[in-house]
Amino acid sequence: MDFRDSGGFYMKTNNWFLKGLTKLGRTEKFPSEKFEAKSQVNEKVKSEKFMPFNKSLHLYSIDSGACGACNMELQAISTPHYDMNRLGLFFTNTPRHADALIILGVHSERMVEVLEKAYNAMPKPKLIISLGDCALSGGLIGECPEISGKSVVNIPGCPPNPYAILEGIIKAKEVSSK
Amino acid sequence: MRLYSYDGPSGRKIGEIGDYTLYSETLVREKSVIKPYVTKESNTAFNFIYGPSTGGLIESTLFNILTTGESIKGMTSDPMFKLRELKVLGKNVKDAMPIIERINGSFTASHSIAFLGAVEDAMEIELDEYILMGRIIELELERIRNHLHVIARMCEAAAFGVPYNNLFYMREKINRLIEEYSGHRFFHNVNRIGEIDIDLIGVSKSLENICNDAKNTYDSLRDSKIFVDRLLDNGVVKDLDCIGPVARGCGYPYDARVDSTTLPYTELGFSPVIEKGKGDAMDRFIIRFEEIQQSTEIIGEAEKRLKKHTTRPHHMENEGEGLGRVESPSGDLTYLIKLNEGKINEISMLTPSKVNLPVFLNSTRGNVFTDFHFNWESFGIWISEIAVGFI
Amino acid sequence: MNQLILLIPFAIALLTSVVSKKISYISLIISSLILGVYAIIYTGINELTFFYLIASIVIIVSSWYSIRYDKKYRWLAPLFASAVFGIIIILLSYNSLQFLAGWELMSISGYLMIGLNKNKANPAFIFSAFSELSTVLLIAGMAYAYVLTGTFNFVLIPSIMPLILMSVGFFIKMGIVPFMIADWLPIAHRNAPSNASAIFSALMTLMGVFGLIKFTLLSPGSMSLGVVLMGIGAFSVFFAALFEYVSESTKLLLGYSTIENNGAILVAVGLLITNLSGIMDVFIIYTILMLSLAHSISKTGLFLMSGSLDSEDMDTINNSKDPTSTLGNILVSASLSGLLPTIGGVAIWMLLETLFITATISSWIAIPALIIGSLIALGEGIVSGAMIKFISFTQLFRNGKAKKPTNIYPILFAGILVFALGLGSVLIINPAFITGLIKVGIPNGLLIQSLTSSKTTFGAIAPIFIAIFISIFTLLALVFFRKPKIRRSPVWNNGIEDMAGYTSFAFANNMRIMMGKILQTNTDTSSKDNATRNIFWDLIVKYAKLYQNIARSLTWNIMNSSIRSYVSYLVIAFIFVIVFVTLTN
Repeated sequence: MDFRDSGGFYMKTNNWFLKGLTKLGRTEKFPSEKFEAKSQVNEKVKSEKFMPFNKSLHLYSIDSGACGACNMELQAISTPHYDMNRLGLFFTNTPRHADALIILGVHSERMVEVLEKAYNAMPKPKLIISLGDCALSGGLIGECPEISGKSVVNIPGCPPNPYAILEGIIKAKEVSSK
Repeated sequence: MRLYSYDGPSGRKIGEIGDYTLYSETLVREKSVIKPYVTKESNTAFNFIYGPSTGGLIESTLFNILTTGESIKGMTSDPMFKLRELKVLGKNVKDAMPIIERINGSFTASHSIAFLGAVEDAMEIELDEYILMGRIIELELERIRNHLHVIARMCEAAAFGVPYNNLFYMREKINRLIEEYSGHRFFHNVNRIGEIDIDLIGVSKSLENICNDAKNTYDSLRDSKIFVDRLLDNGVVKDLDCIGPVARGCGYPYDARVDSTTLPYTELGFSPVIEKGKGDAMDRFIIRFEEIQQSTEIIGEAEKRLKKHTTRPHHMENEGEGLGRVESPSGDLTYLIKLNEGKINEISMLTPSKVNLPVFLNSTRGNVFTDFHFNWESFGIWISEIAVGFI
Repeated sequence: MNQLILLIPFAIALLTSVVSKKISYISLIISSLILGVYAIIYTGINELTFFYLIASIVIIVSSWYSIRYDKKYRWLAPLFASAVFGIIIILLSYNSLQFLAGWELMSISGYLMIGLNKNKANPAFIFSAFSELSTVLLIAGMAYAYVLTGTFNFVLIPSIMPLILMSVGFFIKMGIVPFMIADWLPIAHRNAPSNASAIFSALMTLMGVFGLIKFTLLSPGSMSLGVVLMGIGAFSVFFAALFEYVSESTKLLLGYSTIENNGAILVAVGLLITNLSGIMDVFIIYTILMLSLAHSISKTGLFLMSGSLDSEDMDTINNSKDPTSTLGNILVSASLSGLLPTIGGVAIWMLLETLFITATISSWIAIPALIIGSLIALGEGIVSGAMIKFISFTQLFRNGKAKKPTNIYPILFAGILVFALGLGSVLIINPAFITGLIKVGIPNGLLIQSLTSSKTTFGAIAPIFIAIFISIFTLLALVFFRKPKIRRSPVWNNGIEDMAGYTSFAFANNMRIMMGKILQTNTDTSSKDNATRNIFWDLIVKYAKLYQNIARSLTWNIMNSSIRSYVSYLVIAFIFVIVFVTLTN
């Protein structure tokens, strides 16, 4: 599925409460001409596993030691400009419902256990996505979490642009459905 | 240090910084005693664990809620799950700067400007008006973005999809505005010693629309009884030890923009907005919206004085001690550093989140579970600037 | 033969208790065995000697338990023996004076046993105050009876008045409304040693029931008194069940359970006093006996259990699991919850049957009987919840690290006894109610039936068949479906090890919220206990204070040692007496 063509839409309403919204809330077309895809597919993990995610993908993110910028940018993909739901992407509140685990931030001692528990709690098939330079390599701050070695797609950037995040997640979905 | 001295307490108390306690006029060599919250032994209450990893919190932190079933009897927290140790000591300022910028992504400008304030204080550098005004605009833009974020999170807690999306739409616009003017959505690599790499002329005009939209949303939200009911009497703050919008929501005019003279806010005719209410989440909500309006005005004023851009050679000391204080979106943010041969010898930091966290924990007593998110989001606490250490 | 001769072995036990605890408890067991055998062989089981049997079982079990339990207190064994001695005097008494002597001996020993716990003086005094109130009422009733009959012996009393007076006295001992939830029972139980609690709960309250039945059988019937007693009983069942459900202490829970059971017994006694028809009377008497039997044995078992645990607070119990005590406990609690095939189930079934039979009679009494029947059913439902709470938090829920509960065989014995008695209830109950149903394969002698008249059957149960069906279906399920497959996966608890707790307080929150008006909960976490305010007790305290104030103001106004007012009082009283005498003559 190519989400770049799915276009934007209007939220139209006559509700008095929502009058501010009629002017706002326009989802954008993907700026493909300006945008350069940077997300990297981890070929090793990709070849190991066959993970069919043809339709929707439910995401659960864990902050292992991020500064908050990645958290904000990840959260931004659910906002009107980007609107992840049109692409079949959803956030869940528990790893029990999640297809993909998104890791943010550097390695921190006490979060190792949490990450492992979350990954074990996820139903199969499951995949991991590393988001941001910290989760990818440790960046300027420290070391990357050990579990991010298992990630299918790495999304670089400090922090990555919401479009880059969307692109990376979609790539992870595409990789898995092939 | 040019503006602060080690002395007895003078001015309002801000909080603990390193081995000292910072007052608005002096540094006092004493440990600031943060009242530990004592949960009493009881056979009626039991513990409910929230966190560290859950969908409702965007950062990893743990809350241990003492409850009898629905009402919160007490709460303790463990924010140190995502503790990061930052390698800053022994580095020179230029190398340390990118790391300081990554302490808290949401407050990058505040952190870097406060840090640079301390460095410039130690190096005894005089700044020209262009830099000062530029920094003020940066801080205010960040404040607008953060307040939009906080209020949007509060709307999310109420499952108010429309204002939530509205506010995040505005936040995204601010983000893009920042990117347009500074080259990065989070002010990375913008501030340097005695320099500013950003061209801010024309910002205030781009802000006008956003400001009006925010005002509309604010009016609609204040008309919504459902929303207001969730905020009224929720998380009433009685402590004097709070800072930032939390304190201003209680009627205390605590604001680093007034009592810190590093940045010339008072010249722009600034005086803090205060809300003389109960100090509940509603007051914090009002304060944040009013500060969005106020920040827009400040940016307009500052932009008028941006025009004469002159660079001049700086006088730089290599050693010294400095303190830099700014008003971050959540309250006073202070750095205290010691430079030795241009390298950072000692560094300590006072963050608003750390000061306000115990205040938050105390304010939850008597609330019920469903009040928790509104209260938590209204404080605007970022765990990333609490769970951090310098090595 | 004068049956008072049976007191001699108990007297020996009392005397030896000063020398050796162990010998005293063993001789108590032997004495009770003699009492039990006497009851069975010489008198046959009739309405009143049945209580001898109950008493002897309870004394045997609790003395057996005490041999290992009683190590801490120097004076517990003598007091225990003297309380038992008083109880036996009550049981064997030929006249009111003996009865009263036994009553006082029992009460005073009880007071001293509660006083053994030196931490709190309060409960002992409360106990004593209510005991003396009860004695005063009994003396009044008995004196009235003496005036009417001219003898202290137990002979038929022509008026209902002495029974009314005495029944209030017995209520206090049973802990019924309005003295019920007047906390003396729960408070007293919490402060007494466990074996003493068992005696208080199982035997002292049983003496109330015993006295009530004894005098009911000697008094004329009264429809209105009967209905009032039934109402009070049903009220006790319901409210005691509520408070039982929200109790956080094991002993408090059991104390309320005692009140609840005595309420059920009182309903049956009330029904007996309404004096309906010949065949119903016998059935009701057996209902009372079954209820007393079930309650006494199970309550002894549970109090002894609570003494074996490492804490009285249900949240801090940390004993490791032990299958023996769990089995005993489950059987005993099943009996208290009124579950078949235990004796408790049979008893509650019989009680509900009597009420529903009454409801079918075309008289105004049918309506209160229906309401009371449903109140009791509701109360028993809540009790089942309370018992589940008790078993869960004492036996099943946590596998703690502390030692296993000790001294558990008396408890297992009590558990097996309630089960066996349930199955054997067909042998105890009057043969008029035992039948069979060949059509569905129940032989004669295994079915208990309730009769509306001497020929019409109202309902029937066969405890043995219930036991057999439960076992067969359990076995069948096991054979066909095998052991259930269980998939265990680690709990997702926000990414950390389980740190959350679940308390017995939280368990009972549903009832606290539903019954918020009655169970006014104090959720202030600083108060260590009494999270649930007892509105009945509050009321009593309020009136006690009011009385105190009135008494004080009267004292100040009349007896203020002023000569003038004193003399004027004398003059007025003198004139009043003269006028009164003149007028009446």
